[in-house]
Amino acid sequence: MSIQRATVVGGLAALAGAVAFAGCGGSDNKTSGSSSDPIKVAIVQPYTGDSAYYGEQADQAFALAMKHSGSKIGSRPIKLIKGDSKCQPAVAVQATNQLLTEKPAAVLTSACSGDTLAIKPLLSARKIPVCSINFASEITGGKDGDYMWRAEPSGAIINAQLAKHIAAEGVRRIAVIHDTSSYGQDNTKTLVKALKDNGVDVTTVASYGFTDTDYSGQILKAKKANVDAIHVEGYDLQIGHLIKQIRQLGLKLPIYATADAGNNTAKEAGGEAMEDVVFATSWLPNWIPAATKFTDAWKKEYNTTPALVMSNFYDCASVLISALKAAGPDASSDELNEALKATNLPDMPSGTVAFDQQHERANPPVMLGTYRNGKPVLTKVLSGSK
Amino acid sequence: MTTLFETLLSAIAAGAVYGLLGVGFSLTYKTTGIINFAHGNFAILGAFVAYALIDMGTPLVIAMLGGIAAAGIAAGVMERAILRPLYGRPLIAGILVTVGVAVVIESSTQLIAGSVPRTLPSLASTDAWQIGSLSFSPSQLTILLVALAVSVAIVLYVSRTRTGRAMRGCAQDSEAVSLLGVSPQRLYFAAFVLAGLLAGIAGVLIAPSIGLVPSRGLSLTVLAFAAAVLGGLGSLPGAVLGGIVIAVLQNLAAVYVTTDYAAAVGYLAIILVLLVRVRGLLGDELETLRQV
Repeated sequence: MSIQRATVVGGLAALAGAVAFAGCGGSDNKTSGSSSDPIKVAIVQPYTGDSAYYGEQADQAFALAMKHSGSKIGSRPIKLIKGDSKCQPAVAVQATNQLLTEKPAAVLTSACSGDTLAIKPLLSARKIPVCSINFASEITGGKDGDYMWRAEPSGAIINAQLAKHIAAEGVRRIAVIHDTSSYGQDNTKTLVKALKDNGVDVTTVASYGFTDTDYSGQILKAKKANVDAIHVEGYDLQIGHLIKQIRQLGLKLPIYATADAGNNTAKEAGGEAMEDVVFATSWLPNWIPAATKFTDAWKKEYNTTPALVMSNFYDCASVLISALKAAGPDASSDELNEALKATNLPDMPSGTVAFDQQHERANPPVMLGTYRNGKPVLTKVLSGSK
Repeated sequence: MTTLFETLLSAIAAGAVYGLLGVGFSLTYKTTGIINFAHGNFAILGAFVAYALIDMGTPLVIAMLGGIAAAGIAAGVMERAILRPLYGRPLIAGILVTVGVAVVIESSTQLIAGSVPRTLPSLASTDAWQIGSLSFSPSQLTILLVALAVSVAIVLYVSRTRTGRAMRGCAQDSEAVSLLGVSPQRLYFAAFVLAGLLAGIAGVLIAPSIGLVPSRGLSLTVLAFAAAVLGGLGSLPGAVLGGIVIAVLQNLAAVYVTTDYAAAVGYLAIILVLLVRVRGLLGDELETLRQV
């Protein structure tokens, strides 16, 4: 081959390479592709470790949502790609970076707030819309919040309503016992502020570790403070054991708890001690007809009674599917984001799902539940629409 | 004053279980020189087996006994199949192997049982008894009595029986022990099985309070290690005392100072005690010097 021909061929090859690589990275046209290419939706959840059940529940919820809302956008099927975050922020970042190489159109983010906060900047930089069910305050807003949408009320919103209720019940002095996870500390901060804003004296704030084997120190600290009520915060297993030990140590005063107290795990752990415990939540299995319908569908599909988090995952999955359909099979990420902004889904298990200007759940459902004869029952709806 | 009594009572009940964990941990160390990092996992394994048996309709006490037996068997299998080929090699090999066994037990349990936390029923009622203004529950009392009784029984066994005394001598000088007509390898096996049974008992006692989560094994191993070290590694009465001291210090710190660092107080105490008294609270002075 002559030098001139080689130069021309080499130049054409370089040009072809430049054209081929031009489409890689940096583009925000995540749903583009041929009419048969799947639209990828990433699910970042713990699939191994102590919180692995969240991953399983997220998968189940998305499968059920696709069954009800469809699994195709136009002619393009939805394909779920999964990353194991192990409920550890550093691992979540690693898993998300791996998923990003597959250019997902949207993400259903981890049930663990720490994971979501860790991957929020990554997803924002790629302009990938995200649906979250987390309680932590910083999930939405901030410089990386343009593409983050929270489908469930934040802990701050729930706590504001709960604090008002606690004050209205005549509680003047309260002890708060919480776990030391980032979720626990954040939730406690908003609750304590809300209680103080409503004139309730938070005399004792006691913390416990996730792996603690005994809570008597924390409980006796609260008992020593001679309070009118106790609020307990944590994951379902810990809440159940904490409440059981509170009663075991002879404390008969009212107990308030976070939403996890409504889970079956908490009920099993706490046993009879859970009777009359009041927990603030954004969902109960039979609070509205749509919730009953969802509960029955879940039981039929998976042979278990759904808990709050399954309903949350289902809401998020339905929101993402609805937005993908509204935006169309070839939408850009900004178009998908606009579709999420315009979401208005009635008859969801938690009521009508829509978002406000802050990307938070509009008209958030907040209600109080308790246990009567071992079953969770609705006692009062504090806010929210059906 | 009522609060102080309740604080101490609750702590002693919890500490008795920590001590029981420490006794098993110290026993294997005393006999074989091996620090068994899978000790807490045997406790969790026993509790999970008990849960599985209950799920199959087995009465509670029998299910718990089944779980305890399973923990002992698992520990015996580990000694026979995995540790025995390593005798004669540096001790570190055996210690590292127990780390691997811990990981295997945790992963296997999670694979079989899943990750949704389970609850084991208590042996006794958790309803509060009121004695004046003092509150205590039958469950706490049962845990305290069973843990202490078992610990005392093991301490007496090791100190007063021929096999027990041979176990004590084994880690120091296995040749001397074999000259006395006792097989060191049989003693190692017996020590691990006994320690596994103790771990199983601790597991079924503590599981109703903490739940069944496969990954809790490590935290129980840490508790066992802490109790054993504070009491004097190799000292069985020391391990019982160490467990109780840790629980009492943590509870007193939680109630009267702050809960934020209460868990650390117990471990800080270990550091301080060892700085002043390297053999721990009741450890053997000569044995400690020999090791140093």
